[in-house]
Parts: sequence; C-alpha cells; structure tokens
Amino acid sequence: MSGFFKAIGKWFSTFGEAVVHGDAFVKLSLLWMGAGYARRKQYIKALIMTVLEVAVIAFTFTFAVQYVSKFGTLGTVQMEKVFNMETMKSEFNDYDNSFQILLYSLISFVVWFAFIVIWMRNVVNVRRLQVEAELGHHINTFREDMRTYLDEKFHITLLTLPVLGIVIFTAIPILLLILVAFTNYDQNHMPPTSLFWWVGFDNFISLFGGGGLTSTFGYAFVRVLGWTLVWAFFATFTTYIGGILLSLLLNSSKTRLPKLWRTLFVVTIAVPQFVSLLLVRNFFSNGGIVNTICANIGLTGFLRNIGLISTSYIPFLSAPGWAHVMIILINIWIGVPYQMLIATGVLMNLPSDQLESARVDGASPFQIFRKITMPYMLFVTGPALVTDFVKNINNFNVIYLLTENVYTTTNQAMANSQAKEVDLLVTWLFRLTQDYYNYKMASVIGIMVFIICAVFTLFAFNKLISGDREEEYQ
Amino acid sequence: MAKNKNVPAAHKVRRGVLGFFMNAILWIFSLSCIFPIVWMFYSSLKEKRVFNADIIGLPKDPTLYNYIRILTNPDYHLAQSMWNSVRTTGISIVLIVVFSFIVGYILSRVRFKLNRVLYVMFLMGMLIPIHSLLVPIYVVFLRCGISNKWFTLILPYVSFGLPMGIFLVEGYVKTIPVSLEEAASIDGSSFSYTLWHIIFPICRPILVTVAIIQVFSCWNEFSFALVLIRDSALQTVPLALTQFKGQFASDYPKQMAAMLITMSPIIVLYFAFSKQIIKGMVAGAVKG
Repeated sequence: MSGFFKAIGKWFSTFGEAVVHGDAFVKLSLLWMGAGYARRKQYIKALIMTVLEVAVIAFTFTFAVQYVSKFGTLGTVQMEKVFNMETMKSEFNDYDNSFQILLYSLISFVVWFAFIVIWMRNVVNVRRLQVEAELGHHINTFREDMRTYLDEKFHITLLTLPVLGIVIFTAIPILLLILVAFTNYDQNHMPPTSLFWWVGFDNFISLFGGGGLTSTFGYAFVRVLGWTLVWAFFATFTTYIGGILLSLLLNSSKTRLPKLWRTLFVVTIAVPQFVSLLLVRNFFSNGGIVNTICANIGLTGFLRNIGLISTSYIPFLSAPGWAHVMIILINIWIGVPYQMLIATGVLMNLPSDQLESARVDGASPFQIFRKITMPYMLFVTGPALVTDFVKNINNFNVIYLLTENVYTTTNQAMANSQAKEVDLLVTWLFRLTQDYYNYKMASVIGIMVFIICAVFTLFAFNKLISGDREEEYQ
Repeated sequence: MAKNKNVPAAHKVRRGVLGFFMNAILWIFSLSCIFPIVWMFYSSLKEKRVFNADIIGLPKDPTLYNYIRILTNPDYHLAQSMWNSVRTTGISIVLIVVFSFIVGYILSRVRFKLNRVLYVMFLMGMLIPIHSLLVPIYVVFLRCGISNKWFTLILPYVSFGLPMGIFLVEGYVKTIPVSLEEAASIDGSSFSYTLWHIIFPICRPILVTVAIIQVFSCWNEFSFALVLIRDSALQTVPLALTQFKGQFASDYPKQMAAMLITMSPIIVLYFAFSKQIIKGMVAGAVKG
C-alpha cells in the first residue's frame, strides 16, 4: 500500500519539476499539447497530441457539458405528456433521465481524468526531450519511438488491453455503484418515468438502523451480517479441517485402495454445483425423498412427539435453525473433497524427519496431528484460508441454490426489508436488485461487503505475507 | 509376564477397531458423495411412472426415452445452450490464461512507475462482490448495445476472472529465480521469446490451476447469465436447466437426464486431466 502512495507522490513531483524548469515550449505544452513535440521536430506526435486535445474539447462541449451541468441535481424535469399544438398530438416533454445523467457524467469524469493524466505525462515527456536536446543526445523519430513499444517498453503494449478491460468493466460499474449509494434510486424513483436525486448518507443511516420507511433495514442488516460471518467461519473451517482429516485417513496405512477413493472424490468435484445443489435441495425439500424416508422410519413422528417440529414434515431447508445447520452440513459435503485434494498435496511435502523423530519419541497420533501436521498446514495454506473465508462471505451459489423458492421467512421485520434469515449479504442484495429494484440499498450493501472483504484480506496479507514465511516456520 | 503379553494384544484389537471405523467413515462419506451421480444416472434411465413408483430402486427395463426426448425436442434447446456454454467458457479461459500470464509476469518482474498502482487496482478487483455490480454492468451493457449478444458473457467473465489469475501467476513467478531470465537475455533472447519459451513452460502448473478454477466458475456461472441474456437461444447451461425445472416440476428422470448431458463435458475434461488438475489445485492453494 505504501508503494502505491509513493508512486502517486512521485508522479506529481516530476510533473511540478517539469513545469518549473521547462523552457517556453514545455510551458506552452500546458495549453497546446503538441508544442513541445513540434519544437523537437516530432511532428507526428505533435499532431496526435493536438488531435487528442481537440477531440477531448469537442467531447466536452458536444456531449459532456449537457450531462455534467445537471450532475448536481440529477435532472429537474419530470417526464410528462404534453399536448403539442403544432402536430396536434400529445408528446413527451424534453424530460431529464436521472440515470442517464449519472452514467454519462461518470463517463465524462473518467474521460477527463484520463485526459489529465495524459496531459501531465505529456509535459513530463516534453521536458525530458528538452533535457536530452540540451545535452545533445539523439532525439528519437516517431518510428524509433514506436519500435521501443515492441522492445524495451513491450510490457506497456501488453498491459494496455487487460488494464483497459478491467477499467471499463469493473472500475466504471464500481464508481456507478458508489454514486448510486448516495441517491434514492429505487422502485419509486425509476427513470425514465420519474427522477431520482442525491440524498447524501441517508441510505447508510437507514442501513445502520436510522428511521424512515426502511426502519427494519438496520435490524435485517445486523441479522444478515451476523449469519454471513457465522457461515463464512463455519464453512471455511469445517471443510478445511474435514479435508485434512479425510486426507490423513486416505494416507494412513489402514486404508485400503487409497487411489480408488481419491479418484472417486475427484469425480464428485467435477459435478457442477448447480447440479449437486439442486439435487440436494430436492432431496431435502418438505415433500422430498429424505422426508419420505424419515416419515416411513418414524423419525418425523418422533421429532414431533418430542416437540422439535410442529409440521408433518421435517423443515430441513425451510425453517430457521434447521436451514442454517443443514446449509453448513451440505456445504461440508460439497467442500470437503476439494479441500482433501489440496491437503493431500500439501501433506506430501510434510517434513518426514520431524514426523519420524516425533514417532520415535513416542508421540501419539493426535499429538503429532496437533503439534506438527496442523501447524505445517496452517503455515503453508494460511493465505489460502483467508481467501477461502472471503470467498465464503461471497458464496452466492450455495445459499442461493439451496434456499431460493424453498425458504420463506416468517419474521415480519426481515420480510419488510426483503431479507431472509438464511441470506448472505450478497444473496440479499441480489434479491433487492432483481426482484425489488431497490438499487440504493443494494449499492450500500455492496459497498459494505466490499469493505468487509477488504479489511479481512488486507489484514491477512499484511500478517501472513510480510516477512519471509519459510524462516518464520523454522 | 501375562500382563506384558496382554498389552500388545489389546493394542492390536484397538488398532483393528480403529482401522475398521476409519474405513467405515471413509466408505460412508465417499458413498454419500458419489451416490447422487450414480443415482441420477440410473434414474435417468427410468420412465417417469416407474420412477415415481420406486424412487431408489434400480430400473428393471432401462430406457433411453428421456435422452431421446430431450435431444430431439428443439424446444429444450439443450444442444444450443451447451454450445453457448462451451463457446463462452472456451474463449473466456483462453483470454484469462493468456492475459493473467502476461500481466502477472509483468507485475512480478518488470519495474515501472505504475506497477504498484496497477497491483492495488487488481487487488481491488478481486475483492469486489460481483453480485453488487450486476445492475451497473447490466445498464452499461444495455447503453453500449452489447447486452444479449453471443459474446456478452465473455466480457464480464474475463474481467472478473483476471484479477485472481493475475495474483496466482504473480506469486508463482516470484518463486522463479531471476538468474534464469538474466542468463536468457545474455544469450540474446528477446523479451517475448523469454516470455513464451522460457517462462511460460515453467508457469504451466499455475496456469492449469487458473484454467481449472475458471472453467468451473464460468461453466457454472449463473447470475451474469441471468441478468445479461434475455434471448433463450443464447442461454448457457445453468440457465437452460432452471427452465427445465419449471417445465417438469415432477418429471425427475428427464431433469436428471438433462443434468447428466450438460455435466458430461466437465466430467470428460476432469478424467482427461485429473492428474494435472490435482497438481494444479495444490499449486494454487500453496501459492495463493
């Protein structure tokens, strides 16, 4: 992180230095971007820069201004039908589309930002050319410059496309998401028929229990966040420990045919999640096979007699408590084979001399596991464990496929905020956007998820990756 | 003396019992893992009537009726959605592997001003909960006129798959000694020659990992496909299967036949590369 800020600081200091010490043409480049290049006879570059400058100015006045000027209000003219006296028809007025204003303003900001970066870079480049010319060095022709992009600066050429892709498909949506979190964009304020506007931190306040129409959001948020963290913790650790135990079992000399078992587990990993999860969901549904079996062997009746259930079936995935436990159990079943393969690979490299000496000293298998195997596993796969945890916070598939259309909440406060007890933050925000068009709250939740994940990741990376890990273990 | 003799015997019994239980646990757990596939397979050979009468039993007279119905009835467009999935997944994987290799290598080895800035940017990309971006992306795609096209899904799959791939490669390249490339450059090897002929083969295990993880996530990806694709002729497999569920609320055998058909490419892939896959997954877990 510190490297990041240092790089930015350096960027500005070089720019400042170039402006202060540059000659007249360098300073002129602040206004006419081609000036410095033209002075050094790099006419093609001068032309390109001039064209770029003109293009951005044209973009600003023909496109950006009409949206950015309304950015402060997000539009004031509501869509209305008006009767046009000339055509004798009723037509839509010249209305404002809040979302369009938001999106196009954002695009304008991104374009301007990129332009400013290029503009600053341009001055620095021109200043460098000036220094080289003064020292009597050779000034590259355009063709020579282009060739460097295939040779010593080849990495820049290679990086351009992926970086552009990431910026366009993640950075712009993320910025849009952040902006929407500060508006009242929801079902009642849907462009183009109605406007939405800035509401400051109102959405954040209602998420943290503030008043208003969405007073239950605070309650639902705490419940959902709590379950998300509980789920992520159990999902990560049960599969992790289960995977290690299973791989130890497979490796132990008492197990016959270890190769066969391993292959069979690999097959189960190959089954796509949506297949196995939909199947399991059918198995455990209220009228599903497991319930039929339980009813036949009298388990359902027994549970009803002792008062654990009040229905004629076992609500495996349809009642709070039951569903929470079942989801974690089903996840063990899905996740353990995968973790087992990883653990097997890691344990193969377990320092065997340590195991040997421990055995000679008469350590019990459990002691060996606790003192040697586990520390080694944790040491090697520690960072992966953290990424697993973050992945589980965002584990949309398991929760969505197991509970969608099966689980209905009976908690009125949860239902008011369109949440369920078994929701993770991501499934909640998915439902908010897909079914209820509540974009403002979904955006706020999205930002919260991001912050939570970022905190965990940065903490873990700083803790686990700093320093030489190999030495730490020794 | 008698006492001394007894201890090993008791020990033996205990070990025997322990071994038995260990094997029993393995058996039960493995069978429970494997049973759904086996059950799906033989149930898909039953007719609906037979299945409803006896859910667990083996089929008495196996029939391919379900498979024939699914594959011949164009309404189910299963072949089309499989082709869509194969195309989307295939192109995405190639792009992700190539780009994450190049970018990961550069971020790890080439020193330039924006290196750390880009690194943080990609790290952020990995932390974003993609489901919160569904709507903004949907809107951006709609405005740009690129939603509901055959290539629509490739764009988000690649841009959201890249950050993780880049990190795995970046970490892996760090473990390769720099002297290798220095020697190569002394021998007159160009940047791209070093990249493709020297580093690429070394990075193969981690690239396989990236490919595997991404094949599964792309093949199973549901939410982007749901939001960005409206046309049923462009649906990918997970989407096509949900539509199946609605059509045959109680026709399990047909549903299972459909699932097995759509699973087959992944299973084949798995068997073909199972050794590399296991190696790759371990590499990913250790370096990640």
